[in-house]
Amino acid sequence: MTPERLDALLETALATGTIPPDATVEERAELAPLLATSASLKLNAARVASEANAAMPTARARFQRHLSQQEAPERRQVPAPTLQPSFLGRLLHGRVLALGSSVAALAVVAVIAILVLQPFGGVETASALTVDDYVQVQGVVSASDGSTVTIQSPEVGNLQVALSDLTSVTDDDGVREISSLQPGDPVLVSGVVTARQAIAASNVAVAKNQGTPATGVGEKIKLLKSFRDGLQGSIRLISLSPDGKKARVLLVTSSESLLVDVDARSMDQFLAEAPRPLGALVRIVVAPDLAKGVFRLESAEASGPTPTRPATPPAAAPQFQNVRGVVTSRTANVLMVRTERGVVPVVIRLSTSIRFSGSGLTIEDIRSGEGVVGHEVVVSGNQDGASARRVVATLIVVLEKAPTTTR
Amino acid sequence: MRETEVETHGHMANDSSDAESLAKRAVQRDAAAWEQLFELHYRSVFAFVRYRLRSAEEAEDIASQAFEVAYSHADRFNYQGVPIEGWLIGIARNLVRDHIKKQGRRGIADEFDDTVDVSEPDQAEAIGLRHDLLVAMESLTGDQREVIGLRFLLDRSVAETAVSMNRSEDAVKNLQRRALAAMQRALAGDGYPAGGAQ
Repeated sequence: MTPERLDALLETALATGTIPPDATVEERAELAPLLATSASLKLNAARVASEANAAMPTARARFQRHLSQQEAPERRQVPAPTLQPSFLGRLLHGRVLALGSSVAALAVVAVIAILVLQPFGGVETASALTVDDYVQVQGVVSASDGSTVTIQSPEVGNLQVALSDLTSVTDDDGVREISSLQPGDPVLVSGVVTARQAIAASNVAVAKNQGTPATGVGEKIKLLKSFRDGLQGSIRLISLSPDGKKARVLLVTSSESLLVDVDARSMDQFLAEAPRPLGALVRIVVAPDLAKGVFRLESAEASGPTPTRPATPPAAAPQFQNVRGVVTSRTANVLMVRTERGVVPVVIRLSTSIRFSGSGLTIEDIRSGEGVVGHEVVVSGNQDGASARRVVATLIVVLEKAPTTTR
Repeated sequence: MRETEVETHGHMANDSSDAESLAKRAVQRDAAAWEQLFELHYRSVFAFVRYRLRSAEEAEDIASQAFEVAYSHADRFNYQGVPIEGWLIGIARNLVRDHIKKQGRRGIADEFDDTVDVSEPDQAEAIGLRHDLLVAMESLTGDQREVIGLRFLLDRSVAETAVSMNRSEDAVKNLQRRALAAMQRALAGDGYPAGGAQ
């Protein structure tokens, strides 16, 4: 039994999964535990490969975004091509040519600008989904293959929703298997946009009743640029940028679907007051301190029903669980939130959208060590599979610090 | 695999000129080339990182950062038959090292970056075996960890591992046997570092 022979026997055993028959008893005793150890390693490698596959859509979108951000400045720096002077230009000592080149260069820029703008359908229409944004949207499952479901939303159209081990799926009875999603299931989905019309889902809430996939979906959506007095409607999608500074809602009125850019502070205030934002009736309000094209949201529930096109009936609407209370402690990624019904552990995932603007805190404060303990929070999410008491958060709105005397 | 081939989850660039051409386009920051590299190597970089961190979310972030850093330093890559995957993994290794140092320094200050699932009981079972392996791997030498990672976690052949580690195939076979034996001793409880056993 030399080291070289053991090396060769092990390599054969690793390749075939069995110890070669010509191995001696001593050699077998030496090789068997090594083979078992390699099997453990390979089992874990398979798990990690599955995690890597689940991570790919989000990571791919992030990298594509990075590439496009890096490319843009480089494109701007590309010098304009030098044109060879024409016969006429040479004849006129280049003076006319210089003017001609400038005009030509401007024309090229204009054509490029038109070409760049063309795919977006002009200034009137816009996509409801922006890559990397956190979204909540409702729809009906029209197809499912276990790891991806297609949902249809009357306003947004077909959406591909990627499910993974990190996706929390629940209905009124509790946690469901990812593979249990079936065509006809009305769902509320939250997650990160990985490509136009695709979402990596973090949380999915399912309503028990069967829905019917919408027909005639995917209409053109307009971006609201100028204020219109009396504009109100029902929210069908919310979209929040990763840095928390931009917020957008899809508003449906009786006659149209409008994307509305909403001031982040106003959005947080709205989410705190209406933790189930989809389906809420809101009014669009203008404010002098906001940039052009950015508006405020106000609840219009008190003003009575607003005529909007029919959506999923409220009784059938899937909903996330909501928790409101004061953070009493934090351990790693779990917040303990004291509510009227007792203490609820709230699990924060990487995909959880956390809104700070109503708290007086900023992300910089958080990074410099300021904690959320003592702050009031409004949480929406799903019941955790491991413990019915715990909530896997999809959205957390952090409010001001609660008075210390409560209890 | 010969040193000029790029092995990528079943997609192998058999022609060394393909790998060289891709590397040259990558150096010039050709976006299409980088998208191709991402598709070819993200899973490997993720796997490399995953075995050094405790959460998939952290691994996803660090693996993504590795590609972003690689793209920004593309002009530093010098293709001389060295697989670009090795360069990407080298970047990932440095990022992991920085990440772990940062975690050690910050304590609980960085509230919402701390997504390590240490307090989640539902994760414990899932990472149980992996955690054992991680602890066992800590008892290995650097070369042993490298050979275990390449051979069993990234599923590289002996020949590919030899290229990556700049060793002969016989040396890799010998090293993998000694590494597996050390792992096995550690998993059996003989080789845990003090306080590392669970």
